[in-house]
Amino acid sequence: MIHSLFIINEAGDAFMEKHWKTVVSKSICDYFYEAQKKCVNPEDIPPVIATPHHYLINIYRNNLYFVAVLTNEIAPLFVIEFLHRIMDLFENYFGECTEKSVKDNYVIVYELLDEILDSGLPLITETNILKELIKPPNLLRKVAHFVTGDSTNTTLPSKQLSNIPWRPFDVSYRNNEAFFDIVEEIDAIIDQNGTIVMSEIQGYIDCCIKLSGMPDLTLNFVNPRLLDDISFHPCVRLRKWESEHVLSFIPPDGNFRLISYHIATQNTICMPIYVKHHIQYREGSSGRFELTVGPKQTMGKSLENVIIECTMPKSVLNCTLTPSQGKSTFDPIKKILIWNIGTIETKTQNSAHLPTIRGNIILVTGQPIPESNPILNISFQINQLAISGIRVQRVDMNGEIYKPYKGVKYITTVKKGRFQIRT
Amino acid sequence: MAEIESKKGEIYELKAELNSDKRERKKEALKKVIASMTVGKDVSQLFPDVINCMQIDNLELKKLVYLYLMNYAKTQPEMAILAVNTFAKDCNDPSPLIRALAVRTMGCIRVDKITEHLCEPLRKCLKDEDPYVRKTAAVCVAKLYDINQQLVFDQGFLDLLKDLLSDSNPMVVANAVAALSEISEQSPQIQVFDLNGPTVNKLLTALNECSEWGQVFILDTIANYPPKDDKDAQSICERITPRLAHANSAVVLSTVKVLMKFLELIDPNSEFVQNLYRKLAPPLVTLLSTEPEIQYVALRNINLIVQKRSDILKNEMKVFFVKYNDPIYVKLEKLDIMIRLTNSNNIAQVLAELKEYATEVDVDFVRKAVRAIGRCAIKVEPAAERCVNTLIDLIQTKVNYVVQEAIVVIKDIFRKYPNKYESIIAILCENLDSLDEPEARASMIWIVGEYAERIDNADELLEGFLDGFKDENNQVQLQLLTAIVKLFLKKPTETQELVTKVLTLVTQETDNPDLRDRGYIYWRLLSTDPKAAKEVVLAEKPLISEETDLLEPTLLDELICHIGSLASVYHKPPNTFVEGRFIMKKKLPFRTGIHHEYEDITTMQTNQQQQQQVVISSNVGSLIDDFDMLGPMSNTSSTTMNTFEHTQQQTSSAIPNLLDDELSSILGLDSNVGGHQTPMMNTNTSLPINRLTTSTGNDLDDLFGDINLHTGPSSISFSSPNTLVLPKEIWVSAQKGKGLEISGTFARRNNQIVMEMDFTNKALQSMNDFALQLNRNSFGLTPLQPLQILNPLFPNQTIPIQLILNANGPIMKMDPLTNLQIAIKNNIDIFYFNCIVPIHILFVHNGEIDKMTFLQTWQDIPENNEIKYQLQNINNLSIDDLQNKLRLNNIHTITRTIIEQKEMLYQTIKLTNGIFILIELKITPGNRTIAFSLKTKVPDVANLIIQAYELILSSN
Repeated sequence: MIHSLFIINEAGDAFMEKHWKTVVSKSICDYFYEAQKKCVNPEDIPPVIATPHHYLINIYRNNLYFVAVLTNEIAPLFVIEFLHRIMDLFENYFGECTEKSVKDNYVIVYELLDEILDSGLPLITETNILKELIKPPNLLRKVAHFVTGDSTNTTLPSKQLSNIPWRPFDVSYRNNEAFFDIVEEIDAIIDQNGTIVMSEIQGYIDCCIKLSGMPDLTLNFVNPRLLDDISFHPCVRLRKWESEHVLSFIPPDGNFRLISYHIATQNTICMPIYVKHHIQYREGSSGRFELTVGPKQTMGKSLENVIIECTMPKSVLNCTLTPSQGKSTFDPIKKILIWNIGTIETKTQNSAHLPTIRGNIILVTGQPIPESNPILNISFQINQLAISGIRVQRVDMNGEIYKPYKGVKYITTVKKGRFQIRT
Repeated sequence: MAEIESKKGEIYELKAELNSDKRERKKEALKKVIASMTVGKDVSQLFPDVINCMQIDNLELKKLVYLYLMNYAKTQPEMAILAVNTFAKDCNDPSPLIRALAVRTMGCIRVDKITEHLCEPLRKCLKDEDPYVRKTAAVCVAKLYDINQQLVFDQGFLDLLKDLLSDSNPMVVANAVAALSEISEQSPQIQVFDLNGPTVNKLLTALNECSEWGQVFILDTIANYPPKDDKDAQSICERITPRLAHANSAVVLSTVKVLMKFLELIDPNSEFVQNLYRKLAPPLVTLLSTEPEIQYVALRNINLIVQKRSDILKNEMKVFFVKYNDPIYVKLEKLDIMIRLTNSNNIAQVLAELKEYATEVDVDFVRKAVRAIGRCAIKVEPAAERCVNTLIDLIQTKVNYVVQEAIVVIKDIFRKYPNKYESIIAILCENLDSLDEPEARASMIWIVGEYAERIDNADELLEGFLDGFKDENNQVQLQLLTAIVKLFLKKPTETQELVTKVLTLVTQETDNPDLRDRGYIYWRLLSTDPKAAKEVVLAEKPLISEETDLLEPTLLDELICHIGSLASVYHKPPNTFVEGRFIMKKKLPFRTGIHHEYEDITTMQTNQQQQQQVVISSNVGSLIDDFDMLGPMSNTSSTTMNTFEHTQQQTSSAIPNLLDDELSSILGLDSNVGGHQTPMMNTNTSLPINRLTTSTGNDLDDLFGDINLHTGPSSISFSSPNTLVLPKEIWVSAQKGKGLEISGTFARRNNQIVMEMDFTNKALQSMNDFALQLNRNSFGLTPLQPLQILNPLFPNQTIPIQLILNANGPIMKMDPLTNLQIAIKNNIDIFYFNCIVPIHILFVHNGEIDKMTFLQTWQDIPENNEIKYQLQNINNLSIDDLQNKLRLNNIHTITRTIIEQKEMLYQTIKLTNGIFILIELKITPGNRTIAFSLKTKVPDVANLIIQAYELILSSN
């Protein structure tokens, strides 16, 4: 089982440690540092590292490494999932999970770590229950603290062993609201000619539910058959989905991810954006660079926050580019060109008005002409459109008598760095 | 100094605060203590002061004290005792939270005195009315086991823990499973779980309601349950399949493990399996859109799954395409899986991708991509040309490391497709100078040597390499030596000088024994028997297999049992890397059905390394056949001889002797049998073996047996009844048996069942340590004595084996009934295969019954057990011949009458297991069709009997 945990920052300082069994010396981290030294990028450290007596499993997130120490055979995914869960928990408690927030809340962090694992076995991982046992640090707590001098609940969290461990039983709101965000992230590779090499959609339904009592919600889709590969939150009744294709559940309180789904590449998606590119190096240490971006199949919605990022070959010294819209910067050390375009309206279909960037590339003299053209990384967002076409038909609530406010929002976006165009 | 002062001051301050009267200050001080502890500062000096705080009745404070205690109790055992009373009191607290906390904390304190006091409260808590306490107590047993195993046995905690498996609360069940898994992980020799149907059923029920972590433990436990049969396996699969949609990737992968394991038991052609395949793909693909760490573990496991059941992901190629910003460890894994999924349908797409990758920045990845192109060429034959063209394009880029990798893989392509792409050699030669890595140089030298006759300036090229011989890597030196010898054999006239130079160099100026010995062998070969030398050095090389990089099948099967574990990440069985632990070897369940799953795996050689050795060994020792005929050559030979003798004198006298012996043995054989050493060895060794494995009388019986069959009916047959023996068929092909080919048949000799096999070694190494085992089967066939092969089986040698079987072993009904599952082991591997025992082998000689009994039995068997059939008398045998022929095979004719001008034969058969079969044959003279009807109490065998009749009647 998970024997110990070290939290290490990018500088290689293990500033937090927790041992669930016997104490493992901090020197075990040396094996991790060794692996770290071999890697160019911080995210390239292999997740599983074997040492003579232990195994180290690490995750890298928010510029922090969480390194778990194991002594025996255990499913690595179990550990990795668990480490991510710890990070989620810290984010939930402290608003963010950074070195500072952990250091500011040492005692709570320690108490939490002690509560979620017992002798290396998961004990309580549901945030709702943990929050009843260990109060998060907030202003209210401080006030209560002064009044009563005590902040810990001495009673057993009531619902912790019921069939719905994810929901406290005494939730009460003045304004009852339920919001559903359907977020779809496009993951795609497009080749030189504009052909889609691979594309897939990773979708989520993130909810913010503030409903009193024990509401029982049902979500109907117009086209549920689009979803065939789904991961459900434990609250969703699987049978109901299988038989009727509706999502039926008693929701946790607050923010949570109801389902995540994956729409495969077989039925290629319509890309909402296209890029025309013309990049050419010439003998004599220079080159031409020109990009034009335009919307495509966006159902009349405009593309927002469009950013194109491009890592130039090492032999590029500098670029002098002028965009027709937005701002562009080039970092000559990291060789990264960023063109922040902003919003592209669908009305500007006329190619003359499409955002364009053009200019010259200056190569380092004496260096050979680069072999290949750089890859473009695009990110954008489209509001009120789910690119897969999935739509919620209706949301119903049973079990309570009040009338809640319900809202569904659609967003199509790109996971960071996952939309690539080869040039 | 100042630092120590300030530290002391800090501790002192905390001490004062801890002893303060104000609860608030105490708490703040405690928090500071915990904070210091968290960052690894030593605050153990404060132990007595912290213990004092325990008395206060405040949960938050109590928890802080407990946190401290867990960390430092070990260093201060004497002081820790002081806390025992408080623990005892808390274990009886009305609040379940406090009861649980107390027992949990006590379990974490590894101090003997405390552990002693833990037993009673723990026993109580295991039976506590509150499930929260019970689930905490369950984990506590595992902790106690970690501290003191004996105590757990003595106090009967293990049984109490097992009882919790039937608890009404799923969380308690899950924790009990987790605790038991932990214990069995520590002591695999103890049977911790009694996994039986009802227990598994309870676990499956708990699975639906417990936490995600509990689900992982339960699924991992279920994976160890051996299902009773395919129905059992199928129903468990059905119940756990919904877990594939779980958001937690660990749950998903554990589910996949159980499914992959139980799939073994289910008919692969059934609709159920096809459906399951469809359900398995999406969750695996989904794992690839998660965090990179999860992707990595998922990819390592997908790699195993693809090797075992490639159908599952055959349509998902695109998800494995690499993004340039994937972490390197994800990139490399994706690439590997891409190659495994490559086939002629998607090769175009894959090649385009690989070419794209080969222009990336990351050198390691680019190298792997180039290698991957080579693997594609070897794997997908129709696309080989395109792959070669792609490689040529890449070589034209002149990027140094790309060129080197390309040359290494082109060598492999030449090995796979000889005489097809040699036109590109010229392009390769252009890049000779840029090669600086040993592997690339060695590959290039191999190519030059292998195709020396087509490269005009081969001698110049090789000579160029020879100049810096001493500075070369060992691999390159060996390759260069062989290449020059090859060149010499192909172009003897121009290259004498070169070969002498290299031989002198390796025999006199090198310290490497491998190199020196190889040099001597070549030298001796060239000088004594040039013909043999040519046959050996220029021998046709075995083609390299397309799947050299597949895992070895038994290892793969073992790893499939460990999907999701560290073993699956390392692709090594756990016992090879989990330190100091005895691990039960896990095996995939064995399906009692028709053909087994090993069919798709064709591994001749398991890795590149081995191939390299193969090449070398086939090159060892070698010469020219037209050596004598060429005038100038005799010159060379004498020079060589002289030099050789010269060297012999120079080196110590022991070496030449050794060499002499070795060489003469190889050459002796070669000269006798013209390069094929094996037939002779075969005859030498096989005879004694034959005698050993067969009982003495059997050799004679063999002869008679054959005579009987050929001469047909009458006379001798009764004295030594031998039944029809089918020709041997191949049971294990050399491909599946890693070079061991087994063909066999069954015979009945001297009223004994004999399994007759030929073992042929088609590999390049000798085999030994043979053993054979039969799985339980319908007729309880087991070997009378173990398989005995005393001498090793040499390459190309065949030995006949006769194994007498008896029929009183354990019985298990097979489908078909006569199916026999055999496992044969040798020093290389274990091979499993199925064969069919012809049923007539199981007819016993004393199956005759008298007429009355026959009549009685015929009437006793119900009418609907009668099976009718039209037999064809193909050979148009007379009734006497027919009768005799059947008699030979222990089909006894009880009586023969004529009814309505039709000959009626009444016959009986008795099987080894005592089952009687009654048969009536109605023969119309002049008509070849025989009306056959059969009655038996066990109608399952009827069809087999009909087949036996047809077989016997059609035999000559």
